[in-house]
Amino acid sequence: MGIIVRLDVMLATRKMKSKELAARIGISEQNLSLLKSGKVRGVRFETLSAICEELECQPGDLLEFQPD
Amino acid sequence: MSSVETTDTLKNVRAISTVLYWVCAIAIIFQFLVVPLVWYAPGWVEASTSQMTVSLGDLHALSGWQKYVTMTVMMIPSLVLAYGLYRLRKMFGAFAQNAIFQTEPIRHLKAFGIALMAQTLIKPLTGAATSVLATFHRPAGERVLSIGLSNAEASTLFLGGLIIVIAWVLGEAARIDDENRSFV
Repeated sequence: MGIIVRLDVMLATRKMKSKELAARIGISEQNLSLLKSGKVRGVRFETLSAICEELECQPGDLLEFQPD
Repeated sequence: MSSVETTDTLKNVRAISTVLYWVCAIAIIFQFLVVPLVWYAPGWVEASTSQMTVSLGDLHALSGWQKYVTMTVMMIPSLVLAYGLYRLRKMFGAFAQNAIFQTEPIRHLKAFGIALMAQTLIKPLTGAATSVLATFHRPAGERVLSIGLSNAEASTLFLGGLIIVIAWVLGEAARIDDENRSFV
């Protein structure tokens, strides 16, 4: 897949742990881990919006397109 | 629907499925017993013999290979339905284990629908074969080829088709559920 998830980088920048973010946005740690590793078929706007709000960033800071 | 209501509904689905799992087991046993009961306890099944293509007298007059072959032929629709009920039982077993929107139990439902239709289509053929076998010992001119068809067959075919279509729709629902679960 050409979409790279940069969530781990954003978490490191904000010095926030996955567990804390998962609790704040109301999804399981397991799902957040899948999202971080890019092993999901899609991200709901609702989840993306909650992550952006908590990390004070834009969707573009979390997702990057890399051509194959 | 709130999560409490969803949990209660799933709890009810599991409870009813457990009951139906055992009802299917009884129905399977009955399918294996129905032909021997027609044979050996005719009074008990008198009400159910109206659709038989041969008289009980003819059946009881049979002996030797004819008796066993006729009995086997008569049992074919019951065995097909027993297989369908076995698959239905597996479906309820999966529901009882909370495996609801999954492809496996839906495949079982589809197999039940197919078995129901197959049993309905086979029944007139085995009925005709039974009439030939049961009157085989009679002199020429008195042998009978009888085919029995009724509204019940049409209704069962409709029901079988309906179950197959429902299984198809549920298969799509399972696919969508799987897709939704892979979204975070």
